[in-house]
Formats: sequence, structure tokens, C-alpha cells
Amino acid sequence: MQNLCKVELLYGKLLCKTKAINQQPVRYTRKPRWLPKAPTKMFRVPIRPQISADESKELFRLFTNYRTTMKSIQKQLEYELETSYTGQEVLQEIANKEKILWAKCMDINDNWNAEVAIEREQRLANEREVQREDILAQLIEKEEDKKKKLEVIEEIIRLEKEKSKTYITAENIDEAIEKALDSVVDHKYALDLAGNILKGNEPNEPSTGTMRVQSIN
Amino acid sequence: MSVKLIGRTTNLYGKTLWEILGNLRTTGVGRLVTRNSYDRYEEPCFFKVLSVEPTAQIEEKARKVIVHAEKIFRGKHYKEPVEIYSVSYKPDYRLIPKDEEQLWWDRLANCKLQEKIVPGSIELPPLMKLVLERDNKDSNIKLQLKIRGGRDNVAKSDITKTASYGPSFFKNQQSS
Repeated sequence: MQNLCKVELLYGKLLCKTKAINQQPVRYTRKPRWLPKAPTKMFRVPIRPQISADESKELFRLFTNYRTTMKSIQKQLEYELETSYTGQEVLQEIANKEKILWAKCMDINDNWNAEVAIEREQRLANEREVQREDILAQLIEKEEDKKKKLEVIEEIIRLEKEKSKTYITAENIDEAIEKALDSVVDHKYALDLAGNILKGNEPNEPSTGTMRVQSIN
Repeated sequence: MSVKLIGRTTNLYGKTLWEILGNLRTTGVGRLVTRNSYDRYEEPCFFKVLSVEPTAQIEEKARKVIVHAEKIFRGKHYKEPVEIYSVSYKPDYRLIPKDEEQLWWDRLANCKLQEKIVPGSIELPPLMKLVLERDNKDSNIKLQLKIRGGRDNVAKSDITKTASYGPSFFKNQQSS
């Protein structure tokens, strides 16, 4: 707090010093309207300017001419200002400028298009190459698949052909019937815990391993 | 007894319109009235009163009055009657005596209207001309002088004439 006061005092001193140097009393330059007439001017009667008839006529003529001439000059200047915005030549010039600017813009645009076209060509060529390789790989894969499938089928056919040697056909049906009749198979058997096959109607009788042929009749 | 005037001089000397017309029979309808400030013109200027309508007097001020009148100004008879109201309080009016009325009408009949012919165009100002030459614009043009279209303006423009900036130019153009 004390410090603050000190600072304030210091500034106050400084201000006082500057005041003494710079401050000047400024009084109004003109008497305000609401103040009364100065006592010294109270009874003063201003003298009317005495202008002779010739002089007033001349002054009237001069001022009239001045006003008329100034008006026409002002009008001319206004016209020139207006034509500087809307004159035919000015408009033409603006149009030419715009045309040049348009051509410049189109040039820049064309350059950009050309650059982009080169990039696009490159990219499309790369993509085409990749696609071609993909298709080629797929084709090869398909070919291999086909080959494998064919091999499987071939195997099946081969096996089937081998089997077909034992097929019963119209030619060897009699032989097959004969053979079947000759060798009757009895499927009615039992199994004990040791896995021995017990054939026949007597289960207690251990099988001898020899098959006993029973007559159908 | 000689009168000594004190204070500022004034243009107005005479009576207000009501002071004149209020004391006349039928409020002076049909009589001629003129203003003292019109004495500066050579041509006759006066009013012929057509109708009078007084208004209320406010305090101690001069009474205003609505007067419709035919106006003759600088030897020119106006087609439409005019209304005098806002300037009717001015102590500037003067009644024309009945025996002088015919004199005023004669003056009007015999008066010669003033003529004033002014040039219709003027040369370009020198600096403006230089500027136009600098900007490659047409510097041979002439500026049209347009006359103010007032009711009392007698000036007429002569298109064939061209004014210049010579020192003695204006005096030659002036004709009355």
C-alpha cells in the first residue's frame, strides 16, 4: 500500500511538472450566442455598404455569369465521370480485359487437364496390367482345377471299368446263376466275445472254421 | 420639425397591407396597391386587389392578411392571380390613388419589356482543355450554358453565340 502511494505521488509530481510546461489557458475564440451584447457595442449602428447602381448591376451580372458557367462546367465534369464508367470505349476495354483474362484462365485449365491426363493414363495402364495378371492367374488356377477334376474322374472311370469285368450281363447270367446256386452263403451266424464266428443252429458248438454247406431244400 | 432617424436603416417604409385595405370601403377590392421596394425597377409593378381576408392579430404584431391579387411585375401581367399572405405584414405597401390608376395602366401599356440575350455556349476552361488533351479526349467541344428557368427571368439564350474568357466579353453580351 505504501509503495502504491509512493508511486502515485511520484506520478503526481511528474504530471504537475509537465502541466507547468505544457498547459496553456484556452479561452473561447468567439462570444457565445446567449451572452448579451457587449456594453461597448451596445449603441453601435453598423454602416450600410453603399453600392452604386452601376456597381450592383455589374456585380449581379458577374455573379450570374459565374454561376451559369460553373454549373455548365460541373455538368461537363459529371458527364465525364459518368462516361468513365459507362462509356463505349471503357466498356470495350473492360470486355477486352475480361476476354484476355478468360483466355489466360483457359490456358491454365488446359495445362492442368494435360497434366492430369498423363497421370490418369499412367494409372489406368497400371490398373490394366494388374487386372490382366489377375485374370491370367485365375485362368491358370481354373485350368489346374479342371485338370485335377479330370484326374479324379479318370480314376473313378478306371475303377468302374475294373469292376465292370465282374458285372452280371445277359451273356453270363446263366453262369452267374449257376455259380450262385453252387455257392450258397449262410449269413446267419453269431459272434462270441473272442470274435469267433459261430455258424449253425447250435451256438455251443465251436466252429471249426470250415463252412458247412446247407442245402436250401 | 425635422425628423431624426435613430438606429439601423431599413428598406421598408410605408404601411402594412391591412393598414391600407382595412380602412377602405369594401376592403379595397379593385384598388391598386404597390410596394415601395418595387420602385427600384423602371417598369411598373403593382397589384390589383381581388379579394381580402383578414386573419387574427397575434399580440402586438402587425396583422397579416390574405389577399388575392392580380400581379404586374416589371411590366409583365401574370396569368394567374397570386396570394399575398406571408409578406403582408411588411410595412412596405402603398396605395395608388384612384386618379393615378389610369396613369399606371397607361405605363403598363406603353412599357417596353426588357430583353436580355445571352450566349448559349461557352468555350472550355483552359485547364480543363489541357486535361482533356492529355487524356486524348475531344477537346473541341463547347459547354452548354443553361439559363435558370424562373418566372421573372427574362434572359434568353442565343445558341449561335459562343462566349469566351476574354476580359471584355461579358460587357458586349449584355444588352437591355
